[in-house]
Amino acid sequence: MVQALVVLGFLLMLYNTYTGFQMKSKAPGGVIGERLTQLNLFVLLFALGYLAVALLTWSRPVNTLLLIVSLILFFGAVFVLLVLRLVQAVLAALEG
Amino acid sequence: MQIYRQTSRALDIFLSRDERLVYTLCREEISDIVLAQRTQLPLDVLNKALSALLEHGLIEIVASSQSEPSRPAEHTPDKLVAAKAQLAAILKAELGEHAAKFLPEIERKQSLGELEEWSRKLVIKLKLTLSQKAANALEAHLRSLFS
Repeated sequence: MVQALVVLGFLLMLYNTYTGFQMKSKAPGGVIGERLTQLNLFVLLFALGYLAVALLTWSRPVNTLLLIVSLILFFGAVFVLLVLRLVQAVLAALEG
Repeated sequence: MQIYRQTSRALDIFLSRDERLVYTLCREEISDIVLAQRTQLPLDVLNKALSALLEHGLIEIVASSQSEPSRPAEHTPDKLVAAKAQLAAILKAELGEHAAKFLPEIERKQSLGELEEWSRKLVIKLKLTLSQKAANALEAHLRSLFS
């Protein structure tokens, strides 16, 4: 359960990284462009963090603390996905 | 610049939303510049509303800075072409090669009002996605271009 959540979170963060960098081409500068650069770097950094957590906790026995951490990590990845979707919607509205 | 005011004639016809807004603001003497600021309407829409109200005798011109009554419609094509050229030049100066993708859109605009509205939206778009500096410069140029 814990490992599955962390791996799912990591995969989601990989997808977020890809989406973020893809979006950067639509907003090379300006307020969104500048913030997106920072956001993408953090998303990449956190994705590596997810990988590190997954490797470090792989063979550990499940306990409540680990379960809470894995839930936070997973929903953190979902949160980033929602933020990126919001930016995507703003960019689409500006294009139209 | 012209100053308008409501006449004593009773309002007995149906006005459009824009005309009603302009008519209400003309309760006291008001210039076309202040009207444009307060209503936030594109220039051609405002001129159309003013013309309609004048035609119906609901408002009158109290004072005018021009010797003859102005007829903006006659000069609009020239103004539009000039505004398009200026806007294109501003964009090229501020955005360089990025300006190319906006030039066809400028050419497609049919009226000054449409061009002004599009330009204002472009400022927001540039501010958010391309360059805040270029957006601020464009905004400053637009003020003089459409005033």
